[in-house]
Amino acid sequence: MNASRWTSAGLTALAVAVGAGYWLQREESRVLQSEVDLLRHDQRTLANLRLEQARLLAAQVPPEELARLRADRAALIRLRGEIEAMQARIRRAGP
Amino acid sequence: MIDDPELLRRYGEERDEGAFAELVRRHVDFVYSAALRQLNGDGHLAADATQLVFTDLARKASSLARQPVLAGWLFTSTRFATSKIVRGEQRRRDREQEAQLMQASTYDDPAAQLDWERVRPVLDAALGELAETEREAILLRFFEGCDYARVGARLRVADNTARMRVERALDKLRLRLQRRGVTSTSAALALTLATQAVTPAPVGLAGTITGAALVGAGGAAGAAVAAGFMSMTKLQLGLSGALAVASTTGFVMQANTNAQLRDEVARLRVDTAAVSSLQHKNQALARSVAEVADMRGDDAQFAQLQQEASALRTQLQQVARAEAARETAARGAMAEVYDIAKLDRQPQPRFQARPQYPFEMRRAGTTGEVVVDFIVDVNGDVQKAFAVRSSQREFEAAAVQAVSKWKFNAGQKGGRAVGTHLQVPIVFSLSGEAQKTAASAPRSETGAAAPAVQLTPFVTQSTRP
Repeated sequence: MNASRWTSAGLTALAVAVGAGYWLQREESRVLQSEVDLLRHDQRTLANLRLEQARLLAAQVPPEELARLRADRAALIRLRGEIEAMQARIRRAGP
Repeated sequence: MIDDPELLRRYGEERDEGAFAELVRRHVDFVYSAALRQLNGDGHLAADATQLVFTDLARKASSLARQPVLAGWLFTSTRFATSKIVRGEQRRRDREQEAQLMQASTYDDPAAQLDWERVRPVLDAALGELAETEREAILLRFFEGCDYARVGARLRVADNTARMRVERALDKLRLRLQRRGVTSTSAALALTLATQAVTPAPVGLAGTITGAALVGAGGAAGAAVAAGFMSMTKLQLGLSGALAVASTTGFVMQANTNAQLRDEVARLRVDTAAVSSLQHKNQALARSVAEVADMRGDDAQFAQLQQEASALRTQLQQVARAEAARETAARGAMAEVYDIAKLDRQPQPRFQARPQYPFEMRRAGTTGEVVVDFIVDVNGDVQKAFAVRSSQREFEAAAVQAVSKWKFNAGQKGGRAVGTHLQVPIVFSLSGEAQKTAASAPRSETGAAAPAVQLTPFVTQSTRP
């Protein structure tokens, strides 16, 4: 084999080796691209969550208002019990 | 005898130097004599031409191996080589003649003389300051010795244009040299450049170098590689090189793309790490909002229930008043309780509920009897019923519960209704035993307010499961 063929073979081998590396890089690129797609989807989810958080924070009530509402709820529960007791007593008394 | 194509193939593919020597031996006389003829008998030039032809043959050995007749190619190649040598000789003679003429005119005009020793150190710097087209014009005209026609051809402009460009460039060069302290006229500068810028190479040097290369091609490894490159087909080399370059380029570009993607992935991962915590926070906030909404609903209902509670309280007060009234009436009714024997008219049962036979007792086949004590008030209702005694305690609750529901026409004394104290045995019997149980003798009992009166035993009968 003469030098030209050696050179040609060497260049071809180099091209094949680099091509194999290129193919591996392409595969890695494909995996990375799919991961990027997923992460971008997560980014959109994150953006939606942030919007939702802003909306929820705006809907929150001050602590004193929350305390008042909770006190009212406790009073309501007591009132319901009282009403039930009175109704039962009236039923027992009969017409 | 091995033919020429086979010898060429051996040299081209196997680097067989003996094969090439045989080719030279076969054809050297033919080539040399052709060159000698075409070079008007100049033996040195003919030898140079012969060397050129066989150098070319060595370089193209692989491709020429497919040519059946080598003599035709050798003849044509010899013509090219001799023509090249003739042209070169002619150019050399022209340059030498021009230099002699210029030198002579310089010596004739001392004002136009310029000291080359002053120009030489600053010439290249001044040339470097010229525009590229002007620098090329100067180099072609004065360094390569081209006439205006060839300068025009090389620069792809007309002859006159080339001359004007050379003159303009020369004038600019003179001004730049003047700034560096070299004062001259354009004509003197042109003369100096033409005579001093290029030193002619010794005649035959090119041929000597060519011969050395051809001789070295037979043995030295480096020269063998060079010869291999020369004999390599351009298509193969081009394709391999292009493939290697394309692959490398693609690899590098892909590597860059991947690096960018990795950076983007890292950045996005950092950003999206907050998704989970944000979801939890939002869930907590949503629960809080829902609780508040729920409590606001309760708040609205609270007012409504308060009204309902108020109404119920009013109703309850009415009920309490009614109960108090009934209790007062009952106390009045219970004020006088008589024994049944002292009444003008005994209480008459209007309704007698049957006791519920206890399931366990019925399943066990157990019978029994309970004596229930009670008062029939002025309204005929049963009050204060209780079990006085029983054969089985399991029957007591059922007996008392049944008697409490009994209704009577109240007993009367002196024309008005009064309370009556009574006792009645309740007999629990199963089928077939009823008569026996019913016949059991009732026992009398005395109440607290009045003596008790025994009624006819009440028999409840059932079937055993």
